[in-house]
Amino acid sequence: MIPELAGAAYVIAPDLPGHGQSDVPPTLSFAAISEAISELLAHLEIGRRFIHIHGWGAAVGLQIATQAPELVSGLIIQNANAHRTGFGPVWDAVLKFWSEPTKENEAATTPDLTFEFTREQYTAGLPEEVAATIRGEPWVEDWRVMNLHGRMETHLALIGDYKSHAARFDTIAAYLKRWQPPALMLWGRHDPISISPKRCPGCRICRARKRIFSTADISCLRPTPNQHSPS
Amino acid sequence: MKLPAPRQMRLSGGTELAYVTAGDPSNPLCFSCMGFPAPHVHSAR
Repeated sequence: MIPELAGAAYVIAPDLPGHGQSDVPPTLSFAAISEAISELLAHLEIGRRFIHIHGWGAAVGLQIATQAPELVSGLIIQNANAHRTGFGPVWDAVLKFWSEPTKENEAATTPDLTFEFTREQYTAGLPEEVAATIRGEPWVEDWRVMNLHGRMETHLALIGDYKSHAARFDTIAAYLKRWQPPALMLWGRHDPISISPKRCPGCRICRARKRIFSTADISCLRPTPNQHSPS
Repeated sequence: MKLPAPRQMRLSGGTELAYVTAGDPSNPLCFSCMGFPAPHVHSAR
């Protein structure tokens, strides 16, 4: 994805703390991760920026956007939830854990941290000919990294702390209504985690045409030319 | 296009943050905030 974006933009792509090649941070929360990413942007003296958000990168990117809305040139939203209607059925256990944070309910939130689920983020719902365009097996490397020391704990902690992102949905909606950032919205319709959002009144993003792809989650940026449909 | 090697930045808390940059710095800047499982940098190997 980065090489294609880099044809039109100067791309900066961090591994969030506790992900990829970044160290596990001392505090496992989206607020702490957002502070770390803001530190990177300040270090690189980044001013105006388009922000691409994917998955729970939304909890970081939208926090940064709302903290400095005047610096946002636009949003590229890829299966990134910021609305209650975006919680698919797989969130039921998490929502229960948030309301009743017992050990038992916590254990029920994580059946998806498996190799199979990691692979399905790329392949779920893909026609064979589209699946064949995925180079290599990136989910193998994803799974290897997720099993490094402290990574699974990071994911468990962030599943719990995603509640803090949900608590900011009204703040995010107010930001979108006030600042009306230009937006490109891309969505893989087979993503079981972030459901394609319904319209919310007064929001330019929701008035904009979206592109819904017949793909899984990450792989929605690898479509064939006639594979998407406007919503 | 081949991606440049990942860079590392030491955060104020002492931990390392990995990131890649790509493209012409004179172009509009796109900051990518990828989620689970955040495959940005290891894809650059």
